Amino acid sequence: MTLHRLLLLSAVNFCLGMYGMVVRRNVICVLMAMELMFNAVIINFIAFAHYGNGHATEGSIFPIFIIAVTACEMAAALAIILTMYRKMHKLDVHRLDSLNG
Amino acid sequence: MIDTLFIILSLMIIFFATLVVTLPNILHCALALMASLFGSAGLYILLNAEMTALAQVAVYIGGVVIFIIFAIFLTTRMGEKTTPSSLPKIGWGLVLSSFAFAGFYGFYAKYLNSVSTTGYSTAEDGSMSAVGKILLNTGSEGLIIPFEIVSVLLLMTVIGAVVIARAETKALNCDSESQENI
Repeated sequence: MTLHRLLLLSAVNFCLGMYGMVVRRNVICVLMAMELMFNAVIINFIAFAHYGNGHATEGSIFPIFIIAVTACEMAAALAIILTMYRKMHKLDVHRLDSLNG
Repeated sequence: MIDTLFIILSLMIIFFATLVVTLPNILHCALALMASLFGSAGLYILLNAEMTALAQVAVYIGGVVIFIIFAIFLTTRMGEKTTPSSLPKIGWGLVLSSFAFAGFYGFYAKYLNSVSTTGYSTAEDGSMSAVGKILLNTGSEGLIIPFEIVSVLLLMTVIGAVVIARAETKALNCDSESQENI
């Protein structure tokens, strides 16, 4: 277990998340792919906290903030998904065009 | 021993992450996501970040994934498959992610040698008492302000989520009433 291997593991995880975000059409699947990317970021933080010089505690605190903010974001996302389902009865991201984006 | 554990955990993480982005049934995807997050929690314990592993299991697996499963149950019929993505899209996804991976690999191969990796964290560094001492410290090194801001953010998002989720029917009723009045 070296820093290089850990970073490669998190890069693989991140790229899988990226693939899922591009390929999937369901909103919930896109959100899950995003979770994978967040997880890759957290693995990076922990890896650098372990192998860096000192400040390992701070390095393991920042992922806790990431996890808390992700929980907030999922609460808002669940509300948006419910509203979207009530409006269009389908969770296809291609139909989210009412803002003309 | 640690190397074997690392290989097992990373294979587990990558295998279940692949399942998350490929399985047709969304509920199976959520369960695979849970397994992948469990694998990374094990990895954090291996890297002496015990508190983060606990937060991962309690908040991520126990909270976020359960949120996702709630959303799935509320919006999807049992056994319903997602629409399969088109072939050019899969091609785009593969090209994009492999380019990103090549970029990461090249960057690490070039610059990682200059990063000094001499210090290793000990088991005390990521323990609950060490994390709590920094997180609730009001001194210059403490992180009490971000901690409090996160709690306010959590409250605000929960209120906002409730408002977004129930505003729909209320607004419609008001609209129809006002139109009748007109």
